[in-house]
Amino acid sequence: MVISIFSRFIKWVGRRMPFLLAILAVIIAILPLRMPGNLELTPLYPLMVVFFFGTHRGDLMTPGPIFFTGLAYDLLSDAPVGLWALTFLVCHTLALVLRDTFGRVIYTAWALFALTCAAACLIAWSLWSLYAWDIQDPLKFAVQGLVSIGLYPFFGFAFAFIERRVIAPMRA
Amino acid sequence: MPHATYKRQGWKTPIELRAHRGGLIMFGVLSLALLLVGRAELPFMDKVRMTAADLASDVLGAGAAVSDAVSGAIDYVSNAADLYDENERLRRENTELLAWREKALEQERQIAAFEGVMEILYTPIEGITAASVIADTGGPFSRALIVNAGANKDVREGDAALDRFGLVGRVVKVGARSARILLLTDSASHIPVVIGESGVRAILSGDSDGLPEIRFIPPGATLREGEQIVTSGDGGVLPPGLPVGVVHLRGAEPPSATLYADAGRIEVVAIKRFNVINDVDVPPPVAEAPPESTDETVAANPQPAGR
Repeated sequence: MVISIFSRFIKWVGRRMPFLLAILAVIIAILPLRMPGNLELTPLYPLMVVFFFGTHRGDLMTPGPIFFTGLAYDLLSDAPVGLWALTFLVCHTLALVLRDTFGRVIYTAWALFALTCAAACLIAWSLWSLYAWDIQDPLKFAVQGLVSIGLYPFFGFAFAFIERRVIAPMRA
Repeated sequence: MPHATYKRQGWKTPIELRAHRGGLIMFGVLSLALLLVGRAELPFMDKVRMTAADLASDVLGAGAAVSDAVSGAIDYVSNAADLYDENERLRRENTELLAWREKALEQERQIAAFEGVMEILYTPIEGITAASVIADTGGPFSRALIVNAGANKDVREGDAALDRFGLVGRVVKVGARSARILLLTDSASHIPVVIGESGVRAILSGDSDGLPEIRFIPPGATLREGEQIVTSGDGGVLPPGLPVGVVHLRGAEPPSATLYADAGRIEVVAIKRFNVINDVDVPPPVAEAPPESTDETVAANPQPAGR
């Protein structure tokens, strides 16, 4: 009986692991890094999680968790509420189209993320400019996007490892 | 729907694909609705934001502790290499500071005597709360910090936040267990300041490049490189006399301020509560210019600097 409940709990956690990772990514994205030189732009960690699990495990990263990931990022990062939520949903859709068009082999994953990330920055900048009704500085978004693209391969491998070695056994 | 479409996209049944598409549309519309509601700047949205910060404060606090430990370890390793030079520098600095200390004590006695004679009432500091920085919004939207003290520690909107060097910003939102501090570098930050020995009053406005601009300088006023900037207390925005930074001249561009506070490395802030005195015209204390000031001057911009 106890084993059965524990087993169900592990499966429950396994199903929600991508969402929990996405929330963890939101937390890490706003942690004070105390970097010298006042580095103020952190990579889009939540987008990396949404992209990877959205394209590899679409059954675990559905629109609901993507929306709540974006909402949490909006609320904690001082962005207009709904901005990252909408951006992540649009980018998830774009990522699925790109995946179905080009496949999801390891060689193309980085390029697909680069396209998705560029789209995310463009959408976020456009929404922010519309929201503020003023053309905002696109450089910050561009830098944030480039840093995210540069770091994605490391996180991609880490997510693949978690997917194979943690999530899959938990759901077995 | 062709049979192969949902299979090719990794779904087990067509219903899963339809549910996924329906979810995308539903949550997309909801996000758009939230954006429109947020545009109306309803106080409700601020409450939701601070509630989220309160809920996350414990996790953020633990994460910030880990971040502190990691950055502390990196600092330790990088500083170990030049301990000798650092020791020499500190010895020299200590000698200079002892001289400054004597001067400060003398001035403190003089000020107390003047205050006694003139019966000046400065804006009283009601209390100080120490708070740890648990989040740095770190995005392109704003420059703000979240600290782990809120209404539970009697933090109020408008309170001044300082690190060990100078003013960091002011409290703009207060939750039950957390508060949001708008940094001086945020483009929405505008604080009244007074500059150097001449007592020139101006407004310090945040700028995205991390160097806040000094704006609305009175016509005919001149600023010197390195002059000290302190809060003026005008309008009751902040208490007078809080150290902010020094003047940095930039040629044709409006002068900016090099802040004393290092916003990127703040771990703890002191939040100062104060009472605004509106019926007393209080002259702000004017700090002495630092000895390294140069004679370089700039003519004040007769028009407010545009952005």
